[in-house]
Amino acid sequence: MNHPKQLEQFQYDDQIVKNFIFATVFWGLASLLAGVYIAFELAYWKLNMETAWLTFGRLRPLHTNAAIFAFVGNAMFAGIYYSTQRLCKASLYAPLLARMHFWLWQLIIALGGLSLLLGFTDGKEYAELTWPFDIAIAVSWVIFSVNTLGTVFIRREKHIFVAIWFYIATLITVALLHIVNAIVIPVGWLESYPVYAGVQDAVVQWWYGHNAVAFFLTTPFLGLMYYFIPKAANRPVYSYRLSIIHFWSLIFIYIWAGPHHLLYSAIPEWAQTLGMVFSIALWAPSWGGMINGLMTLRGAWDRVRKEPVLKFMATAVTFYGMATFEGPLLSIKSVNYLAHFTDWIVGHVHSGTIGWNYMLICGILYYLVPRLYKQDLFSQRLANIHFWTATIGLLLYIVSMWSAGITQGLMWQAINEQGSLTYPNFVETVLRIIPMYWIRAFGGVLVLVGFILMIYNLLKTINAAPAAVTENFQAENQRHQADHQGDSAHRKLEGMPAVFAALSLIAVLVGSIISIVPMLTTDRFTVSDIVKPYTPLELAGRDIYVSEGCYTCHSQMVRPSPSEVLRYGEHSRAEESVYDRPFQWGSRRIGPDLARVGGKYNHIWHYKHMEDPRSVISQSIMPSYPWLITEKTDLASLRRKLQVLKKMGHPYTEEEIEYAQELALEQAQDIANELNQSGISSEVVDKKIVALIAYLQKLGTDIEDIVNKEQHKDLTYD
Amino acid sequence: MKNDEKSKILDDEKNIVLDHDYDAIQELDHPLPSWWVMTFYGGIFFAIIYSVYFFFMGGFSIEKDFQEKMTKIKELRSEFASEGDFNLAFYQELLTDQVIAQGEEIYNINCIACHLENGKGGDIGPNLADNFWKNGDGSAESIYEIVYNGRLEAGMPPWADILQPEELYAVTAYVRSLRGVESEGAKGPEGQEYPVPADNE
Repeated sequence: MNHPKQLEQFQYDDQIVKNFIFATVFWGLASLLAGVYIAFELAYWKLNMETAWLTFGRLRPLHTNAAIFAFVGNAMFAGIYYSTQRLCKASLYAPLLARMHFWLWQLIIALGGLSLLLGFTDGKEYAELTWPFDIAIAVSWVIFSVNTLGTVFIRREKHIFVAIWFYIATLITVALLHIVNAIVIPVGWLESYPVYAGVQDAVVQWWYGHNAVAFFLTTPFLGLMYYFIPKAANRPVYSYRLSIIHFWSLIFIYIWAGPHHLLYSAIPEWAQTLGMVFSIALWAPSWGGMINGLMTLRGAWDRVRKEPVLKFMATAVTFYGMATFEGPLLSIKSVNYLAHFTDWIVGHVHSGTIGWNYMLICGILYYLVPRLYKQDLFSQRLANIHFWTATIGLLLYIVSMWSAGITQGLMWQAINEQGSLTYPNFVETVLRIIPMYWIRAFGGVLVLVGFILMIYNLLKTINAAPAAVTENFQAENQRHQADHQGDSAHRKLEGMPAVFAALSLIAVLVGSIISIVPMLTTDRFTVSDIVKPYTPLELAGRDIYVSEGCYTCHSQMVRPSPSEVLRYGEHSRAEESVYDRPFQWGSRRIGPDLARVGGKYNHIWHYKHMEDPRSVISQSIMPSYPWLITEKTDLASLRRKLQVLKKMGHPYTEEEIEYAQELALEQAQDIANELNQSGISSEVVDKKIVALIAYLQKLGTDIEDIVNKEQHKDLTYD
Repeated sequence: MKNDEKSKILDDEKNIVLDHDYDAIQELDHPLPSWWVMTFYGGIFFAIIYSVYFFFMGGFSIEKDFQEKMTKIKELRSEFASEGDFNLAFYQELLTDQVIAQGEEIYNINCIACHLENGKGGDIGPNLADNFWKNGDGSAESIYEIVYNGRLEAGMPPWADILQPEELYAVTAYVRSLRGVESEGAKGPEGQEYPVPADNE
């Protein structure tokens, strides 16, 4: 059959790609600036400026959210919209939807960033934005998915290329992760409590957090790698069969690995073990991507030495390989014990986000902008300088964080021959790593400076560009062509994107269900006959704790190990967290753990410490929180909050709900009276500081009864 | 800056080029590198073996491991435990300028925040250099006891678990040596007046 070819005409929508590129560069600059600033805050605490919105606890979520969702997110949208059209030989399915996607996303970033600075947060890492934003993100993501999948469905190619496989897995899994993790009951316009408590919340959150790394920072960029490296190097993809096996094994295994963020925590040990073994098994699937990326450059290495685009891409894939080796290593229980809560993790994360995402994005931008604007790059030399500046900055970052993390981890666990802690003063372990904080901050400056050079370079290129003309393309529509004889099953599958999407969904559901559902279907983690629910004032204090981002520096999880128990007291039990919505176990100890802080110091100590930490711990690097002493606690909302919590099973009586505000004031009066004896004005009674003190004094106070019950149980079983 | 050039194929790749073409991107069908296949199966193999070891053979358990280690530490600690009782003879034997200087260092890290420099007293901690004492009588023995046990109700944490036994004595010696040191802005007297004891001689 030799029909004359029916050629169809179409255009690519490149304007939307340009929009997303501008947003990438703009928000990239903002996120790097925030990152550099908070890096200096850790080295030099005075930069917190005694100003609420400038403190580390509020800026750190701003930095992480901006880096992930604003910088990397916009780059992902630009790259996917550009490559999907070309890989499908089709124009964008719905250009108007793409514009809605663009503006809604930028609105979420701008207003969401503002809300974080103002202290509105869900208090869960990388998911800090409050519920109205979560809804907007979901809507935005659905629009993006409809548009991308729509383009795939109207393609003129018969098969979908490996890049599209990764895009499909991304679309499905991010939607699943985001929606499940964001289920909350609102108690105000920007406030809510999650439906999960304690252990459940921890497990869901790190299933989300870990797989946000997997499906927001990794899979879409593996897809982009499969498109842009062959294009830029003008070389074929190294191994088709490797791409098949590493794609399916990667998405199937990745989803199980979340609990490696919770090793030695109070989640069940079986879940921890699954998290560890799947992380080890993930090593090879990750490296499959690295091999295909690097080996595609085979025969083009002479150009890698000269061309900045390829330099950035080759370096990105190399760092991807390094980070995905380090990840499984850090998931081994004993290694994790040393590294968890330290800067090693921070270094690991940045070898992913800077080494992989930033480098790959910059490579793509240097490739795309000249092509989109039909204008050679303004300066190759400047791009080379950017490459070296960023690479050196990144290396300084990683090495200083390795050094800081291992140093502090070893100091925390050092026990002398008399059985006591060698470094009992926590602040001593902080002071030891301050020099590393300076080096890290300097490394961050280099990464930022490189980025600014790129912005200048790209703007100069765009300014010199000729006026845009719409190009017409033509191609035969091959979508409905018959399969070739002898095509493998997978090859046939590549012609069926809907089936492909369904199989991807199944692949990610298996691990999700097995590792999470058992925790959600038991009341073991939500009911306790021992732990007392938070009093109204303690609850108000807890909300302040969450709002100030205390969890960015303080954990509430004493791990079961001698050094932790010597330093803080009894190790944490799952039962202690049954009323914790959200859980606040934390992931980094820049300050000490707080799970046992209740009753350790008196009220006046806490008052002085929040007002000026140096007044009680002379070398502390914690910011001062003077506004807690002048700002009023929101007591009016307590009744509504208690009502919502009661619906979720917190044992409040009708009376407690009815008189929540009065009860809170009563407890506040007791604390204020005691403060008053030390000369603190009695006006402090309705201020945030008092509520926060009430919360801090409650922490860990149920442990004695829990231990008693455990011992009693042991006796009866024996 | 051409966009639609087909990939450059090397001589040794001519037999493994697939007829795939996506926006001019071609694909080769290199076999899987054997070392990669080994890591791939190795990882899965490890996952299975470790899971069997953990779930069915009573393998490494964090909780069990912790209990064992903790028992050892407790034995060690009971061996070296300082009773909390003040040993005057030991203290006086220890009492040298060097030990007092060591005590000053410890003081400047741990105590200065509340009691300020030279024990002149601050918002939280009382004056340690005058003859008035809220708790105890200002003797080395009573200073030691307060450092050891703390006075939680007054905001003073216990230091027994944080400082080493000799460090407790050293900081006691330093605080004891502050008696009579006058500082600008010192906190006023609190508690009862006690005469200077003779234990530091």
